[in-house]
Amino acid sequence: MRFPLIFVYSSNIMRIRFPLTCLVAIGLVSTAASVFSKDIDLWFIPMSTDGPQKPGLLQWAKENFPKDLPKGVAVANNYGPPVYQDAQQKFIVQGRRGKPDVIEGVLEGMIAFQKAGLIAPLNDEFDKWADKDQFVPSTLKALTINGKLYGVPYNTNVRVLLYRKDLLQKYGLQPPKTWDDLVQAAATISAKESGVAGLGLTTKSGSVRTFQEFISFFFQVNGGENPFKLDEKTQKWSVNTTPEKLGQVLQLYEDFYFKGSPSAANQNTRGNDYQATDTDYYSGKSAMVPMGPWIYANRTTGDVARKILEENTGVTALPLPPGGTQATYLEVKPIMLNAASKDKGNAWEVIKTLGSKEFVAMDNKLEGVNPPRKDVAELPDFKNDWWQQAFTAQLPTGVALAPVNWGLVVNDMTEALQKVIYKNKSAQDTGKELYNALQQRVQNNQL
Amino acid sequence: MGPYRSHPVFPPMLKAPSTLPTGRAVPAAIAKPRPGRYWITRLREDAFGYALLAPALLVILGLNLYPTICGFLTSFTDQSLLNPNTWNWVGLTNYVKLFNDSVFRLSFAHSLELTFIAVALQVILGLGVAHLLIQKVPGIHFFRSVGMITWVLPIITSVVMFRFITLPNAGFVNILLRTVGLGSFARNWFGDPGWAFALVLIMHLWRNIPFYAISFMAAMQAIPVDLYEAARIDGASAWKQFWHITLPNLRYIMLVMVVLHVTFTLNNFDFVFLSTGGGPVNATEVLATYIYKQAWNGYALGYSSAGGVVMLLVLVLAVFLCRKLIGGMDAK
Repeated sequence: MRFPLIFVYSSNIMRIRFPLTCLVAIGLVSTAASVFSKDIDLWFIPMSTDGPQKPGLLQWAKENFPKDLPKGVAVANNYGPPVYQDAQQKFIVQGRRGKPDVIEGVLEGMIAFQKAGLIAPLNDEFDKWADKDQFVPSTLKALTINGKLYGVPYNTNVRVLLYRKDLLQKYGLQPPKTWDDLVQAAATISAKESGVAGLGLTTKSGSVRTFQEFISFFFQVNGGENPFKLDEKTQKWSVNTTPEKLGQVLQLYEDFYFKGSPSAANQNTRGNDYQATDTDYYSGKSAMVPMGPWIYANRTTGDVARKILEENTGVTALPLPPGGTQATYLEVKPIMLNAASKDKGNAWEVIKTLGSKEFVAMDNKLEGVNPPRKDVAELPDFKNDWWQQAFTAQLPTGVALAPVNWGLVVNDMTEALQKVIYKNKSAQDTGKELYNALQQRVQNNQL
Repeated sequence: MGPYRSHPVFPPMLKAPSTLPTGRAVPAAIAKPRPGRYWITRLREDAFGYALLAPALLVILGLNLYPTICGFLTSFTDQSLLNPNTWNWVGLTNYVKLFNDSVFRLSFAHSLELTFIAVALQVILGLGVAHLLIQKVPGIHFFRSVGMITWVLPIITSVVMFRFITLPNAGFVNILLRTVGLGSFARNWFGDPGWAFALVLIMHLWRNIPFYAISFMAAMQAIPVDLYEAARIDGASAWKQFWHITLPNLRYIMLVMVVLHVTFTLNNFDFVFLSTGGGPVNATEVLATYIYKQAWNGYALGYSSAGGVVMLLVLVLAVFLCRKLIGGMDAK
């Protein structure tokens, strides 16, 4: 029996149309499912499935979220954008819609979210939490704005000075204690050790490390205080430094690049990004470097890196200026609750899981950073680890950034620093210029 | 009135002929159409066309025109990204502040400089490479295919590659210079104010020249060979053949490429932001990176919108000038 042509034609169309219809239906169902889903939406950048996530974190999440969270509560499993800057921008734009419910971030981002009213204070929930006394007070203080806690810390670190023990010993040098010692010791190594710069720094525009290194030296000159101060009565910010102090830090940078021949830092590395600073140190191209603990993870990249980081590296506090205060940049990563979340109760459960002893221990070990929890710091993995101990010893000197909008201030400081290291202006003149720029930010309400 | 139309009556601006070509009189109904009939018929025909266009028009208006108008209006406010619901009209304050900012003026100049030099060199070098690629030599198809790789690569990949090969200590360029005894020229190329801008320009050229070349080559292949044969018979030199035959025949593709790349280069953010971040000491700051910093570091939505409006006006002017310039070749 032969079918009329029209049926053959329709069956061909159906052959195409059926799978297409199925695809559209699946798309619609999954979209509807995500819109009406009761899952807690979590943005946790190191877990993001769109980036180079750490497999251990994902595995932990997969195994422990179902176990630790109340029955019926699940966490959506893409974990947001893979880059902090990206996540921060997206959250500022879409956060008021209530998604994500929980976001992990950096301190500068938390300050912006708080100013935008995007995150909820956690004091009530935190005070009821049995683990609340386990957190290091300085890390909680860093996440407190106007007396309200806006995040649970899960990861912290400070900037210290890493130095090559073998090279310092070879040239009869001691680990530097003062800025002058640092400049002289680094210049000596630059002069005597072929192909090695005494000091490595990050000075690229737009690199957050450029600012973090600069502000670490600045804190020491400024008595461990931020460059801005809030008047409690008027609730207005003012500049809390002087042109001379800013000039002093800029003078240090000028000395790094121009004092001595050869100088402490290689002039050809001006404008280096953080990757170059890190690579230069663990590949043996620089002898000292202001650094955080993460660089230790690079010891697995080769024998040279392993030998330098495991055997030949010493850790000391950042050297001090005359009359300076021992202080350094404190980085604290918070886990925050979206103020517009429609399920704050379960979102808090997710935050508690991510702030738990088990998660913090696993994450901090994996990332090589310092634990903000006392019970984690007491674990053998941390207590018996010389690297962890060297950094943890400096944690009390860490200074958290004031709760102002740092974006444009970072630009001002980087530009000033570059003007000095590229010899556009003297350190003192640039110090005055930077001071005026900071005053302008205050007057224009840009903080 | 296009030839594709077949209106039953003559449009009102044209006078109907009184006699047909056969010599017979035109029927009264046609010679004296009812008033308004032309427009009703035309509207009926056009309505169908507009109905077909409507979805696309709505999408274009929604995705392009609406945000543009919003951006334009925002530029007269002090709106912040952190508190978008609280704002005031500030008139031209943002524009005044913008032109008083020396970094903005510098970025503006850099954007124009980069766009002009990059597009001019891309056209000239693209023509040169197209001339090579059109030659019939063994293996030329391989080079035609390989040439497009630079254009297909994501910009981030290109920038990371350039940054790696120019690293001060571990970069290939500096290692090579030291190996051949030119170590004094080794430097952090992206960190050198004298070289950073040139390197950004080189990245633009590296990415786009092959695309220009392939497009020009395709257009060259469509030029009739007879024209060249006739020119040769008349004694025209190779240069005259290029100037009087090749170049005029490439004007349309050239217009498309120039307009596209003026827009691309003036708007480009990735190359600068990823390679230098606008530094060192603002040596590579362009409008796109300046506006980005104001929007995302300062959260100043109104101020950065003013920058965006200035950028839009510059783009419109640049595209208009390109059309005039290349369209002029046609008139010649």
